[in-house]
Order: sequence, then structure tokens, then C-alpha cells
Amino acid sequence: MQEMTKLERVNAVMECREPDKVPVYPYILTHGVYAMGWKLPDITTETSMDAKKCAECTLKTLELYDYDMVIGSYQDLYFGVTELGGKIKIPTKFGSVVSMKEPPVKDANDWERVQKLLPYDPRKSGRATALLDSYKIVSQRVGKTTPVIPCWWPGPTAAMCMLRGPEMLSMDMAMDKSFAHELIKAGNEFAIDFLRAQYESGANSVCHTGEIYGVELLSPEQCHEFVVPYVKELSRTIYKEFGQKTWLHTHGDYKTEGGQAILKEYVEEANIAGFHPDEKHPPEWLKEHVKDKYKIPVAGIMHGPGPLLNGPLSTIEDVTRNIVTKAGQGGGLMMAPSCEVPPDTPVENFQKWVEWTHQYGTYPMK
Amino acid sequence: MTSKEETLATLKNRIIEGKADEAFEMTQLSLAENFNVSETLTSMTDAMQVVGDLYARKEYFLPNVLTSANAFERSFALIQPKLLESGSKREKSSKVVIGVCEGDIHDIGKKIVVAMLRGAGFEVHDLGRDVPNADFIDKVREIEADIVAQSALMSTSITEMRDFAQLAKEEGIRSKVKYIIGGGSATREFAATIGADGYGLTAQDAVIVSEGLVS
Repeated sequence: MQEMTKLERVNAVMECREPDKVPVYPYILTHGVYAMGWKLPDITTETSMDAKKCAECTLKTLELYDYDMVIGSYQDLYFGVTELGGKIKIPTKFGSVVSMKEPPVKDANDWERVQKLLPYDPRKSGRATALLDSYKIVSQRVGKTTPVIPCWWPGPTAAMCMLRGPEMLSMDMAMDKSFAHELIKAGNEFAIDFLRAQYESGANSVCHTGEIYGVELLSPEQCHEFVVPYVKELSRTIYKEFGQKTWLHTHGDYKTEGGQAILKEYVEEANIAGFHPDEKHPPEWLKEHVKDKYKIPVAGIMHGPGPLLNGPLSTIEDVTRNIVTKAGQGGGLMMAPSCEVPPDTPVENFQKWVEWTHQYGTYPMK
Repeated sequence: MTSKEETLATLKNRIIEGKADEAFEMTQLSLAENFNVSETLTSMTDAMQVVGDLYARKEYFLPNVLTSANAFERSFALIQPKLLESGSKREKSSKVVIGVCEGDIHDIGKKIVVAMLRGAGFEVHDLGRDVPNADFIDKVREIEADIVAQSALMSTSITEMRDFAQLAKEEGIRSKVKYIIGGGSATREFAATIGADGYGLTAQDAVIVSEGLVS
């Protein structure tokens, strides 16, 4: 088969056709910073980021690993927190990630105050503006041949990370559902607008949205109420405005009866067009119960904190070959980690993972 | 049922349901009525056992467990001075020092483990999150802990666990305290490589492993 560009390769997968070889989507958020030998304070403060460095480390990972689908900037989960009155922590230690020290909405009074600051426009202030500038740089450099994808989290995760923190939002879901929905709705509005701004800044391919709650932390009934409607709104808006499909990363066991019911809702109600679960899902299950059943592409999962981080290389090779062999027949397979690629993943492990995916995943498959 | 039985049963049910205010009221009532504080505590810990079972059976999920744990913690804080004052000892009174490793602020799982361990009768000293290894060592020494438990979600934080195991040896306390680990980035294999005495995938595991280590 004639060699495809990365953009053609990923497009083929999204249409469940055979590409020239299985593409790799490594879901890099922070790893690029450490791959450059930097620490997080070298690239971001609580209120601003260095757009050129965000782009530089992103492009460096493309050069180092030659993977296929790129998020256009360094990212963490806490954009908007400082602007809305919360506090984040920028760690100095190698391999650590940005976290939230204090959420903007600790109580009802805070919510009244924060509502006056919403909607927060990522184009106008804060670290988000640098992220958008990084997208512009990265898309100008590689966007003709490489999918530069927008990435943000749908309502529940966005509200958790930007407004309320995980514990309080989770308790709201149980004790004050209408308040939880208010927060999640605000999170979703920001998510959609931030994704919109990333497209405006040069993103050119499928939309990544990652749901941390999933059926890992919520019951199927809670997922049905608090997650699916917001993913649906997000994916439909993005498709309507940009003609792009939504790739959903999620956590929890979708092999269970309740999990399968939510998966069906994600596909049939929320229109997700790519399924990227965690390490609980073997490739043969993904092929049979997602790819063949719903005719949407799947991510074959390399567990990040497992072999990818710890090796040995022989295990990475075995796992990679197994995924490609079991789920790659007929196309519609993307290689991906179980969540964000661990920030401190050794370069050699990463390189070999991509290399073996392309090698064993060459079409036509034997 | 007598009024006392009704109050304690209501307390238990309100914790299971995660109704913190109502559980708190029942706890206040139990104190006002001079119930034996150990009996009040037993109702509360029985409630958390039920919550743990529901969680293990996937009938309860994070929002439910957190609200129950919150109700338990609020009521527990109310009776804690009375427990200390009365010198009340439960059958199981092994001491656990627990915290999330330095550099990691993800402590939802640890909070659930704390509630479950307290529910199982352990005396738990929660150091919180982003805790330096030296603080674990100091606390273990201070209270003469039976178990020290560390949690880490981030893959980078598990190196802190390796460092702790080494530091505990150097400080001469490793042979005096059982060491268990858990959290998203820890694995049974990793626990073995650093010489931990136990590993728990879930909050229920943490209780089972801890009970096994002190039995």
C-alpha cells in the first residue's frame, strides 16, 4: 500500500478503513516538557504560559517519536482556575503534573461570584491564550500533513477541574443534583468554547474529549444523567460547527452490562465516533464489541503506568503486536495509551512502541 | 425498638445514605442522652462496613461513598473527644498512619480508605496529601504505628514509595511497622519490588490487607 500522510492515515482510521499502517495517538499532555529536559515552571506559571515553548516541546515529541496525531500544545487540566479565583500548583519535581490547590467554587457564595466571571473566554486572558498561540505555531509547521487535534474535557470533568474539585462535585451529584448540573453545564459551555477556539487556532482533525468520571467512578445511572447529555451536546456542536467527529477517552469497565449500556448511549445518543477506554479492555473485546458492532474506530490500549513506563522492551513489543494482531484487521484501530502518556515515560520505550506499532501494524495485515 | 436502638439505627442509616446533617443530629442526640460512646461508634462503623460492601458490589459509586464518608467523618469528629476522654478501646485498635505521597494531591481514594479503615475499627492518623516521606516517619515514631499506608495516583509519585521503603530502613523503623501501598499507579508487582508488606487495589482491599497484617 502507498504510504499515507499522517492526516490521511488518521482519516482512514476514523472512517474505519484500512490505513497504510496503524497510527499512534500517544495523548501527550505534560511529557513533552520533560522530554525537553525542562521542568514545569520553565513553561508555565499560575497565570501565564510561554506559547513558543509550548509549541517547541510539542514539535519536539513529534520529531522524537514520529507518532501520528498531535495535541497542539502542552496542556494540563486546570486552565481557567486562576482566572475564576482558584489556585493551582506548578510543581518543580520531575515528572509531576499541575494540580489544583483550591477550587474557585468552595460554596454557594463562591458560585455567585464565579458566575459573574463566566463565560471565561480563553482567547482573552490567562494561560489559555498561550495554548491557543501554540496551536497556531504547531498547525503552521505540521498541519498540512499531520492531524492537529483540539483537546478538552466535557462538562463533568471540566467542572471538576475548573470549578469545584473532584470530591465536592461528586458529592453534589449525590446530594444536590441541580447544583451539580449547573456546574457541569458551565463546564461544558467552557469546554465547547475552548475546543472552538482551538479549531480557530489551527486544529484540523478529530476532536478529543476525555471523561475522567466514566463508569469507573459513577454508576451507569449517574453516567446517564451527568455525563452522556453533555458529551452529546459537545460532540454535536463540534460536528455542526466544524464537521469534525469526536473521539472519546473514558475510564471504567465497559465490558459490564451497565458499561455496555452507557457505551451504546455514547455511540447512538451522544454520537461519539471513536472509543478510547482504559487498560481494562483487551483488543479482541474492543474489536468485537465496539469496532465490529458499532462500526466506529477504537484505541488499542498500551497501559501507560505498566509496560510503557516500566518496560521491559520485550513486553512492550509483545503487547503492541498483540493489540495490532487482535484488533487491527480491517482497519479502524488507533494505538493509544490507557490515559495521558506518563510524563516520565522513558524515551526509548516510547520510540520503540511507535516503531513496533507501525511495523506490526502495516497493511495489508498477515 | 427502644429510643436508644432507634437513634443508633437511624444514625447508621443516615450515614449509609450520606445524610451528614441528619447523622450529625443523631450523634448529638446520642451524646445528649449519654449513650455509651462505644455503642455510638459501633453504629457508625457498621454503617461504613455496609457502605464498603455496597461499593464492593458496585451498588455504590464515588458520589455515594464520599457522601457517606463525609457523614461518618463529621459524626466521628463529634464523638472523638468523648472517646479519648473515656479511654474507650475497641477490640481492634491498631494504629494506621496514612497519606498521599509527596508531589501527588489525588486523595479521593485515600479518603475512602480512611473512612473504611475507621469503619473497621482502626485508629487512623491521616496526614493528608502531598506528604513528604519524613513526615510519615515522624508520625510512625510518634504514635508507634502498626501500619503505614501510602497512596499515589501519579506514576511519578511511586518513586516516593521506593524512597520511603529505603528511608524507613535507614531510620530503623521498617522492622517495627507494616508497610502497605495503593493508588492508581501502584501495583502488586511494584509492592513486591520495594518490599512492601501489602498492596490494595481497592479500599476494601486496604481493610482486608490491614486486618491480615495485624491479626
